[in-house]
Amino acid sequence: MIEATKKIIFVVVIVLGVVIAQTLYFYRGIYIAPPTEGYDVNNISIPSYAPKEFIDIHGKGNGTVLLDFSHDNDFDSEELNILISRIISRGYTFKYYRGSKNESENVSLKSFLKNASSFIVILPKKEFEEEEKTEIKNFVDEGGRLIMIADPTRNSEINTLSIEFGVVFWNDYLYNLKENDGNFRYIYLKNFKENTTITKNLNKIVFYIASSISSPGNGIVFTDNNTYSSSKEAQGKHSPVVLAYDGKVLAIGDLTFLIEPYNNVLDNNQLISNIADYITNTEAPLIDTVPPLVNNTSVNITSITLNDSICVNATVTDNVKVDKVWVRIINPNSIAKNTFLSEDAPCAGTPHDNIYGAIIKLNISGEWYVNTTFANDTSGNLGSEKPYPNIKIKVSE
Amino acid sequence: MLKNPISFRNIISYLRDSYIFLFILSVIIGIFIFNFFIKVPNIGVITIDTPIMDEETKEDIVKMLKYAREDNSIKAIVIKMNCPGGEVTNIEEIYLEVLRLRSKKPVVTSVDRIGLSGGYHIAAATNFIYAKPSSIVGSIGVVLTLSEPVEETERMITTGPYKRGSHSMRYYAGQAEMIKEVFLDVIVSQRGNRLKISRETLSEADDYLGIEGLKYGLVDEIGSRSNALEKAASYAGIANYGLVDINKKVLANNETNITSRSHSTKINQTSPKVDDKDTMPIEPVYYYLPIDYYLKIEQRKEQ
Repeated sequence: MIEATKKIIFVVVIVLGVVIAQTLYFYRGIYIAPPTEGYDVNNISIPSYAPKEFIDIHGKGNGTVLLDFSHDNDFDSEELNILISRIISRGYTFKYYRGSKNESENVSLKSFLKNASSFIVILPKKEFEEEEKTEIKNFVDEGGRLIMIADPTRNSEINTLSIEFGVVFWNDYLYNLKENDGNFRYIYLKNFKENTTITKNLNKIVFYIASSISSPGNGIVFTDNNTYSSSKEAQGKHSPVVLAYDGKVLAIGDLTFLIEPYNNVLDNNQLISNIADYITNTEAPLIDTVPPLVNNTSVNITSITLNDSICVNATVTDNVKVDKVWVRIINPNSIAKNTFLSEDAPCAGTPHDNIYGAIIKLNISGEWYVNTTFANDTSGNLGSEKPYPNIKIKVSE
Repeated sequence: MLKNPISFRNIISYLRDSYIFLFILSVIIGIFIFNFFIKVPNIGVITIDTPIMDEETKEDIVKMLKYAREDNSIKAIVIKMNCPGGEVTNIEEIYLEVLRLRSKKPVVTSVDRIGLSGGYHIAAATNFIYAKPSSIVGSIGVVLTLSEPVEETERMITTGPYKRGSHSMRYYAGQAEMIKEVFLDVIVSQRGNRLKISRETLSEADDYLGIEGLKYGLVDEIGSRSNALEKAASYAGIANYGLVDINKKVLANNETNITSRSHSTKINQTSPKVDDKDTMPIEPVYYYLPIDYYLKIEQRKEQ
């Protein structure tokens, strides 16, 4: 019995020993897994695409805008629907230049340009010939406007024309990794040259893959310090919109912003209207809300005899144009009467000095009062002198 | 008849009394118990050396990860990485499976030539990343392709304007941006304090050599596959381990890599150039893939 127990213990010890020895031979520690997190998407923001409302306020003119279709241009006319409709609403007509198919047709570019006020060239895939360049240059020199549009996502030979006007479209795209409209190539543009038709009323626009344009001193829209060019190493201001050749040549490095729905983003619609104004040489009417400024209501004499006359003057100025000026006079019977003043009255000042006048006969004895002067402007804004001067005139018999 | 014949009963009796025999028997039992319950440790090696563009390739990899997770003899895994990336949902599935595996067993990546985009996305889920000095890692970004539009006809009736996917390029770019942000979040959270490069710089989608990757915290050490095996072993606390080629074990027909299958698989839609004109797309497809690899794969499909 004791012998059997000894043997069992022996076996168990050996078995355990082998197991432990092997374990120690193969295993030296245990794995402690790091914390495991899957995808945390709570902080991913979903962009919103609500369009900005826009009303196109525009002037009216007449003329013809010519659009080039003779250089295998890489765009569809539908892509210009918005710009074309804005131009037409300004009273201009649109014509397409498709070149000549045979020699008997008199469809030379020169003949088309003769009747046009502006010429638009977009993404030409064919080079411009010397004769064409000369005709376009003459057209611009004689007062025509040239608009050139390219886009880095489509190849073109636009530089064969633009170079004639000192404008070069770079073979790059502009990008901003810090702040953009949902993609690093959809850049915000907030820096504008002041007092140009193209940049008026713009705060922020978006270009959707735009190239930079080189025309020293002629940039009118500029990138910020966080926007880079894909082909230029140096940091600096880039310009995707340029107004060159004494303001007669407009060059734009993006086509997409003209197309739905990209036109509805930020101030893109305003930019398109500005471009339409530039192309048609019209300006939107000013919406005037400022009333005329009226002051210095005065009379030449404050004591007269019955049926004598007085001269009433007032100074009236307006930011746009004064329409009518009148003075309110209250007679000794407390009845008020309005009398118009004019700039060319005998007792008014010299022309264009803003002094209006009128000669008024006082036919009731007693105390008259020149209450105050009123004026309105061509937009219907009403102004008056305040406080009311209430100048007393004594009329004796 | 011989005197004292050797009978079976006599042999058993002799052995029972022999301590040498008992010793040998105990050792055999001990070895058996060890192999049955504890097992000789192995390190499983999974090779990913192809773009992960199609469902089949993805399923192969998921199967291998599952095998590695369930086989008790496999105590650690080394992923031999030579992958430029692939279709986003495929990569994401594999990433989640690697995370699941990592929660149970250590996983170490050994980047061979490339661990780019989706390939790096998968590597980011592992405990440790080795690369050679000239390996290429990075390309943290998304490629989006859109199909040709469907013509409007009266005979195709849909119940909503976006049923045909009639969004603008801006909308899809926004979606690609969201996926990119998810990718960046993965790298930043998985690399944690090891990362020495800003999120903004990463979002440039640049490639980095192994030595640059080490400097920026995208790679943990420069080393070979042997280093990766040793590291995996040290994480698992094992020594004197065996190696299991999981590709051989799991994939049918002795395919040791999944490259050939991936090349023969078609993608079910044509994919225009990335910078094509704005069209009305149907099914956008997102890839974690450098653009030149995407174009090469497309060219190969067309041939």
